[in-house]
Amino acid sequence: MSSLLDCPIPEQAWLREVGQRNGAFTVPARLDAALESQRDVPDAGPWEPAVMKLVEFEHLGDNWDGLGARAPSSEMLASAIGLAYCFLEQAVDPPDCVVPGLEGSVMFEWHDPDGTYTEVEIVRPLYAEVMVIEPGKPARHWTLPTR
Amino acid sequence: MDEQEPVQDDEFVYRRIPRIFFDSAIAPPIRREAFRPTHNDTTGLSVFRAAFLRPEDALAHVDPAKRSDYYVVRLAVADLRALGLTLVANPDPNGPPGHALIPELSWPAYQADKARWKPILFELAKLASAAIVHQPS
Repeated sequence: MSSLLDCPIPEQAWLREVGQRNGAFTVPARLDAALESQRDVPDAGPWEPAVMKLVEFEHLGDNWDGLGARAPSSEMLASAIGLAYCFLEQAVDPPDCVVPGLEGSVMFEWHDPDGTYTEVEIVRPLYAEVMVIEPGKPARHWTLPTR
Repeated sequence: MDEQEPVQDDEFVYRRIPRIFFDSAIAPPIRREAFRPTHNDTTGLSVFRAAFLRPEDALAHVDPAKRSDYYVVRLAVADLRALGLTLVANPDPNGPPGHALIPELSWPAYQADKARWKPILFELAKLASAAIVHQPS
């Protein structure tokens, strides 16, 4: 597995995944299973369960928690799916879980056996905040795309 | 005991946790997002003082259609203080009794310094994961 620490995600690569991948419009097709192009879209391999979860979030709707939570927009979900494909290309292990944020963000989380916690929170289209907490060390933070 | 009285170190508070933020296959099972302030939390993160209500009563004002999708966790005030958090009594006549706020976790404070508060939210998730007092029905 590649570590997120040495996993550069240039903006152009992310943008490319959100738009067109190998000649197919992957993300729009994933978000609309009725699209004709869906048949031509490769699945996300080990990241497929995460992508499927993101697709499910399309149906959350605002106030999904009964206390006013905002649902992730289509643009946010497209960015999250695009980022998932970027990580797939970089051989990053899929996350343990994918959760919607209360303010319309989307989060990938990894929980390692040694207690290390990693999260990637897509807080707006094509922009994510990364945090890694290793036991006994200060948390590390950076953002994607990499500069 | 009066709801207006300051929150004491030996008290406990309840926090509502949507089901989507719980996964028994992961340690800790509760996601830190369950403690993230929202734009409605202008003055602090909401909790309920355990001395004033039962865990399930904290769900009284959740949309009835979603109420059965909630866990409730119990946190020791002393543990919150150890994380550098404070609690302020904030009775709400329109909500469940015993309402209190964690002012450090207001929306503006969180937005201003996420790098400081995100690890704290993760610690809260760990504490909460060990103290679930109400399960979704």
